[in-house]
Amino acid sequence: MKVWREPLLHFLLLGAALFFVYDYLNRDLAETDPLTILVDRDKLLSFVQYRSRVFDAARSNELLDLLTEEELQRLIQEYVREEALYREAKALQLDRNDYVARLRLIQQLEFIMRGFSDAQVQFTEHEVRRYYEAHKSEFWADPKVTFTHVFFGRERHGAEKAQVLARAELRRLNQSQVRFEQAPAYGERFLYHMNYVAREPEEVASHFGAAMQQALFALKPSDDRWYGPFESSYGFHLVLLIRSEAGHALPLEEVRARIEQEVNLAARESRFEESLRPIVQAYKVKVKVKRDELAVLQREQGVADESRGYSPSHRAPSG
Amino acid sequence: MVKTKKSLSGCSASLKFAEMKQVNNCRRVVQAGLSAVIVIFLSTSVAAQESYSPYVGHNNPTTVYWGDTHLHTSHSVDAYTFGDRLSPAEAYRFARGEAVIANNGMRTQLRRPLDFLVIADHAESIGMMEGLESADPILLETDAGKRMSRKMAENRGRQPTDSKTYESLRVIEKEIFRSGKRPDVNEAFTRSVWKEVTAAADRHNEPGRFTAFIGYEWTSSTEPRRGVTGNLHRVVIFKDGGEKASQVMPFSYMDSEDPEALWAYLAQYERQTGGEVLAIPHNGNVSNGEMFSSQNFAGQILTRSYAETRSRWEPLYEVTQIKGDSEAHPFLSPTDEFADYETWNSWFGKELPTGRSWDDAERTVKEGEYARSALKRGLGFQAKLGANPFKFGLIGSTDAHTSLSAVEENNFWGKAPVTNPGPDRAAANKLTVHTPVVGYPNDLRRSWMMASSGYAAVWAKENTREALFAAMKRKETYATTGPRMTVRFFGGWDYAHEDALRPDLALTGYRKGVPMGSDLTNAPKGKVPRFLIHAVKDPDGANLDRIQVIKGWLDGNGETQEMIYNVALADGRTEGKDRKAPPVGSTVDVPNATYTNAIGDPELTVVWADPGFDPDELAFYYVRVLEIPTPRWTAYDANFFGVKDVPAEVPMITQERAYTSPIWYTP
Repeated sequence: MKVWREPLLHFLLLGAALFFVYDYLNRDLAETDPLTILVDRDKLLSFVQYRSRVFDAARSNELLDLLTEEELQRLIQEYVREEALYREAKALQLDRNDYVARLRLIQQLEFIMRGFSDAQVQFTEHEVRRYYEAHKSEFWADPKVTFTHVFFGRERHGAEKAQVLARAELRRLNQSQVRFEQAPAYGERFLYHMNYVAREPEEVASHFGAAMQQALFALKPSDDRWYGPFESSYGFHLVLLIRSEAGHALPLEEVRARIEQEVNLAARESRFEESLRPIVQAYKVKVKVKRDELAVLQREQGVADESRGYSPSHRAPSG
Repeated sequence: MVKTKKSLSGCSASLKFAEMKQVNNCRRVVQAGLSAVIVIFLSTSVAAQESYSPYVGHNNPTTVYWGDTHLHTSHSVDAYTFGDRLSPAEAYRFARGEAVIANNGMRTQLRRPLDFLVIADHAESIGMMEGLESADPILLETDAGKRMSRKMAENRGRQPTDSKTYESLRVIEKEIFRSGKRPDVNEAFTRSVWKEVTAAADRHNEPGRFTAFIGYEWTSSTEPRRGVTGNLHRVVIFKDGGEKASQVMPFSYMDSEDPEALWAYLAQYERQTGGEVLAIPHNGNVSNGEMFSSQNFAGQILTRSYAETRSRWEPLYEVTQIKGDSEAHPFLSPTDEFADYETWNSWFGKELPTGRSWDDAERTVKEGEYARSALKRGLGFQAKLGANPFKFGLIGSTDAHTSLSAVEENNFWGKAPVTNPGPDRAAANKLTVHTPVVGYPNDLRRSWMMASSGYAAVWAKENTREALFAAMKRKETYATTGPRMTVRFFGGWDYAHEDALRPDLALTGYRKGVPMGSDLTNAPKGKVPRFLIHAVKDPDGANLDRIQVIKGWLDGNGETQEMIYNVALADGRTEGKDRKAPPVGSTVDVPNATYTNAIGDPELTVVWADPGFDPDELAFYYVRVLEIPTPRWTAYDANFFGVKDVPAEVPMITQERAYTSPIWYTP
């Protein structure tokens, strides 16, 4: 037959033969079969390392050998589950145009990069100092006052009478120049303390109320001059304020431990971002973004309405 | 002259020369003696003329210090399993008032700092979970360590509170406790962890500003009886620093589960190092009757020696904490309308239905679980043995496994990281620890059952280890369920009603009697004990409803009795014929989780005399102070997270309280 002498047929047959031979020789290579998951040592090693975020081939090898039969089976099952779901997902083309999958992939990469960068973090004394300078306002010791007081209760006398008593007593206290340690002999028992030594605004406010606290912190200290009457929700007070310490910045040594924690965290973050930079920079960027010219114009003319962000109440920095 | 000398000194002058030397010596002695007498005479005459200063010899505590004696961090195997990754450093910072980031990612901060803290991580395999996580070389020397480390490795990348992580860690936990009895696995590693723990406490201890005690928890429990194990846990607290404390290793239940073995270890510590140590038990409410049982661990009736030893090493009892309040039980004290407070009946939640009657066996078991019944039992033993094994003062603490000592009602961070604030925490179906709790198949504990409780209040001279420890040993302490009320409680024979109004009330209290935790004995003829009591609200908290005195005594028939007296009531109320007072009312707005101080009084004081006193009967008295009703943490949760469907059985209102250490009377 003429056809048997066609070179094309020879090539066809040769090609087919090659195809079958290849298939036969690689019949064990289950990779070609999408429904077979081959689990071998290498795959398990990668699985273990990626999962544990530690890329130490030697150690992973050791660990793999030390598994009991039951544990090995469990590991294999987990790998198989992951691989099967992954293939299924790909078959359903879930990785195309799926933003969640996209984020997940990015997360995976970030995860790996963090594992690398975290291992190398250190920070210097200079960084500690720089952080301290930059965040000076946070490292603040509140102002403190030291005072004693003579009290007349509203419950006992009624508001008006208590105030009258207080005024009269004030004159007496200043005339006799009653000192700090003599104060307990005057007035009535106050439910909280008699003396307040180096107390901060918040505590004074919780005992006496905000109005009296503000007045006290504005008072000038004196060893023998009594002031008042100041009013709290409990009654009227005459106060001898002997010390008033202004708020001040805390020295570095006192807050070193806190700073080191923060700097460590910041250093790890920056190290991490640094490790991502070469990846991003490897790509050439072409920008082709068209914008609505009218909207741009309006914004530039300040016509656009900005909804202002809700500013949460700012708590005064505490030391 | 000679005559005078003779008469004064009896030294004969008419002696031979040989004896003259003796006479001279004698004279010298006499002269010395005479000058001594003159000096004594002069000084006593000065003392007889009282000092102008009223404060001479006044050495008494003037300040109450607040703390937590029972906090767990990531060093505890179970806390780590529950998801706690905060170390002691964060725990100290939080207790000192700084903001930290909790395990659930939220920033958190106490309203007011604490004055002291005991981080009491479980002694059993302390720090081992973290050691496995960081592949500590000591642990990897053994096969068991290698295995556990590998298992640990599979959790990297997982969330600490993920249920997969939990299951994996539970497996490791089992392995740890299985191998725990083998010293080759634990000893060297535990030593290194303990050194680090003691060093951390020393580092954070700032005398005068913040006290960090070295401590740990001995996590013993009894074998299951009637299908239930009994909690016998104690927190061990050292007065000393690392130099002494690190000479011993924490005594864990793997060494022994018998409290008497623990006490022997404590005695050994003091002998060996010259230091001081004590133990504080807790959670009698879930001890299956064993905490204050009439029998010891081996099942023998208590002896005098047992009573003496126990009261020597355990001066205090942690009466209130997150796992329920152990002061009183409504079945044991049916006439006490405040007894059913955060009552936990066992590890398995509130399974006892109300209205059910008990048999004697059940009653006996329950009596071994609650502070009030235990104190009464102690009187019985006092009479029988001559020593009282249950003569304890009271404190509160948290037992939080979150590294956060946070039990303010509107700032409650839960028992474990999985019960950090979240929308389902107050809901019925969430369990306290994890879903499901492996090992507790019928776990009925619901997260809403957690109590946002408690703190320890200590009357001490200064905020140092020595002063606070000494106060704990003399029981001058009280417990609160979270708020910081100031409570003074003195007992004596001579208090007058006016003493309640004195500005120097405490001075008078100490001068004319004894403070909380102390003893009165030998009543003077015709006198009854009088108690000077002063309670002040937490400046940031709610007004007070009332002060009560709870008396327990051993009557003529050898039976113990109890009686509750309302000794001070706010808003001018008085008791009715039935000795009950009308309730103070409530200003709680549950949906908004607010309340106002429009009811109640900020301060209550009274001098009260016992109307039913019998000088021949053993008795104790302790004070319970109640606040007006306030929103419970579940209400704050529901409000913050906008939870609409909180089930009806979840309490939303609470009445916080303080319990003082008792004052005992012995005839």
